[in-house]
Amino acid sequence: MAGSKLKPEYQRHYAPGEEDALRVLIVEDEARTRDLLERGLREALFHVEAVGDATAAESRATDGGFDAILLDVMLPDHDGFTLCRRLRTRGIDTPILLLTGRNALADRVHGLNAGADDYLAKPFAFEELLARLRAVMRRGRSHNLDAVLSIGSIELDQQTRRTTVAGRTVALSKTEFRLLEYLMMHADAPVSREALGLHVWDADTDAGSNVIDVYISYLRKRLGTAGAMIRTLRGFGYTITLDDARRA
Amino acid sequence: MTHAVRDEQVRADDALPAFAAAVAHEIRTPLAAVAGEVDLALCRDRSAAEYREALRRIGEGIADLVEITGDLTLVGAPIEPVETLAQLDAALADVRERYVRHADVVVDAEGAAGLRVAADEARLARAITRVVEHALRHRRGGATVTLRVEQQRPGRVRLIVEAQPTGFWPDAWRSLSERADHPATPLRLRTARHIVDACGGSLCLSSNSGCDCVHIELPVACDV
Repeated sequence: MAGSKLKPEYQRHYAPGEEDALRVLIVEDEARTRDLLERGLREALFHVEAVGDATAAESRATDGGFDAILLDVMLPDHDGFTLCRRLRTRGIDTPILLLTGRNALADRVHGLNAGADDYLAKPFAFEELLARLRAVMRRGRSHNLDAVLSIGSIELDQQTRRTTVAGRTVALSKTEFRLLEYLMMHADAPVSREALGLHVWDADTDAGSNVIDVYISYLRKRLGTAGAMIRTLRGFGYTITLDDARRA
Repeated sequence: MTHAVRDEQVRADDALPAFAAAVAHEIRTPLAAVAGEVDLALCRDRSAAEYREALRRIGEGIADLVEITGDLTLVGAPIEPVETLAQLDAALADVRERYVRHADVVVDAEGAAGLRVAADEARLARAITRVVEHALRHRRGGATVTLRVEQQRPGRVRLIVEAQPTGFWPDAWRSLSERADHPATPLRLRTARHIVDACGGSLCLSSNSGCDCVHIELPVACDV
């Protein structure tokens, strides 16, 4: 890029040191489009690898090391939706941006339900492609970075499902873990009984029943003194907050 | 309106959305590539050589689009028997010239010398090209696409398109090829089928020892 003057709307995509190590796998069977994407992303300082079919893509994606996958829907061997689902089933959580000529609502929904993180229809503006690619990678990275939630002395690892208080492991049941996880994801914010019923149990849980109160009670006991961070909001629900614990 | 005419009209109406969707996809892909080339070329200041290269690519993309519109005009017209005769080896020379820079396309014209078929030479080359392009899209990995000539019975010549050593993606290739008249069939195959039909020939898929091939069979003109 030396000696080149980028137009302002593109400058924010070229940040040497931030993106120069990011690797993108392009899966596109149409040679001209594949070549265009390769050149465009290389100019934006991504490291790029490109394949033309789903079988090669699955093999490369499984080998790992990519920060994002740019995936065309119409491929000669399997369609992109199928590949997307197969990768997710195999536990590959690399962010996927679907890129396709099909822009019907049903296709977009199908793609997202198959495990894609975003969807961009052709023809596209390169600026939008780069912005969306950065967004899905940011979400992917933040997902990994935020795998450990913490408040005060409590740490909850969403990947290993391990909870510690002041470094000491605390055994929680699945429901207790989900309850604490949901409260910690919304730390310092009021969480309604309805929201807890919906996200921790299921949509049919009666927010008026005492099952939520019972599990909150269990959780407080398991957490010991740190359990004081879970505060009852009378007539509404619960919150977990460091300030309340200090007051307590 | 007779029942037959009405039924034909209903079938045509039913097929229109699928055909329109297929055409939209055929056009949108090269159009997206052209738009992307323009977008990429303008995203920063470039040297004159870089702009020339970008313009060359844009020109190629536009030429593709012009070809597509030509194919659409062709498949939309009724099939009419061809009155002219074409030298088969001349048509194959056109195909070879088109792929002269492609190391992965081999055109073997041996056996075509002196054969004449009822076809317009340029159109016949176009039909063969469309099949080769379809093969390039559906071959496994980097297999070489080979076009060769066989004379299996008197009065007929067969052009065989195959990918070696690994063949085509069987499911995609078969499902597309067996539905060459379906409204959602790729324009390339529809175009090839249309031209070959007009020559009194046929286009079909065959599998030999696990290797899928496309056959274009054409009647050979008898010398008077």
